[in-house]
Amino acid sequence: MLTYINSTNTSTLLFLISVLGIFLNQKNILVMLMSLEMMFLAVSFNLIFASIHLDDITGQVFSLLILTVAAAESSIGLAILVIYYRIRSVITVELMSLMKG
Amino acid sequence: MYTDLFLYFLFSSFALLASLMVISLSNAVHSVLFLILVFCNIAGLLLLLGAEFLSFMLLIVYVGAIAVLFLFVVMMLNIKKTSTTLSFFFNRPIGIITFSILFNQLLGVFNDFDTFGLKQKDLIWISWITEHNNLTNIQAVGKVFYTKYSFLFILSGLILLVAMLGAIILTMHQRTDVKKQKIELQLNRNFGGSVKFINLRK
Repeated sequence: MLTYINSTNTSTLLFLISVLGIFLNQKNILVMLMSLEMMFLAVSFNLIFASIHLDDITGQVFSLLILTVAAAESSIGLAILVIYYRIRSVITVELMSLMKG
Repeated sequence: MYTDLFLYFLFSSFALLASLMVISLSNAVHSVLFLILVFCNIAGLLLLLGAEFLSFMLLIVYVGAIAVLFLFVVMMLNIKKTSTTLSFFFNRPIGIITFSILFNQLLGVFNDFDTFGLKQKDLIWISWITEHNNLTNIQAVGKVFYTKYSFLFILSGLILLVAMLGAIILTMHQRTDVKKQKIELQLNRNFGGSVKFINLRK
């Protein structure tokens, strides 16, 4: 029965909710990073579902690569956030354009 | 009969609701906890679809590494004072649910008391002699990943190395107000330089 279901709706809705989270939530950068992680998750789930649906293993390989990039991105982003908090002692998205090299 | 369908709708609706909660809650700690719920639900969906390796990999990497990293940063940065006063009524529904599930299961052992149809009526048995020749999901992924896409495997290792070095170099800063033990200065000290004789009264 599960084989008749199209899982693309779930991943697309998850992606759209995360996009909404990035664009609506303008005050908290942590929530924006979490939305970014959810976008990675949605894309990777879509790839895995396509690979199972089309019976091709390549999608799972590339979703594993997406997992790697997501882990790297989150670690670097949170490290930058920690430095920014150490220098400015506040994390607001509006003042982040004032950063200089 | 339709257990997989029921589980599919359960997992997908829970994932979507939890993602809505992630973007709508104001407290960052609660957002991280709902993010963990999203990851767990998606892992369950992948388990239903049959991608076991990717499901558990997602659980390990996202929940074990990324969500814990988020939680660590949220708690370290001290953005907002969170009131950690758990009321008595907060713990009560979880206890009642756990108790009712365990009660139902344990009562089903003794007789045919079966409230939500949780007891398995006709047991399905698996012939392991025919099953062990199958190619599992992790074997299928590994056979492609280590041969055809080996370059991408090495490249992902390089990406992780660069990310690790970057995170270490970015967050490391030398504090000057901390007394440290310097081995070379200790070894260079000798008796003549360290003990002085002075006359207090002449």
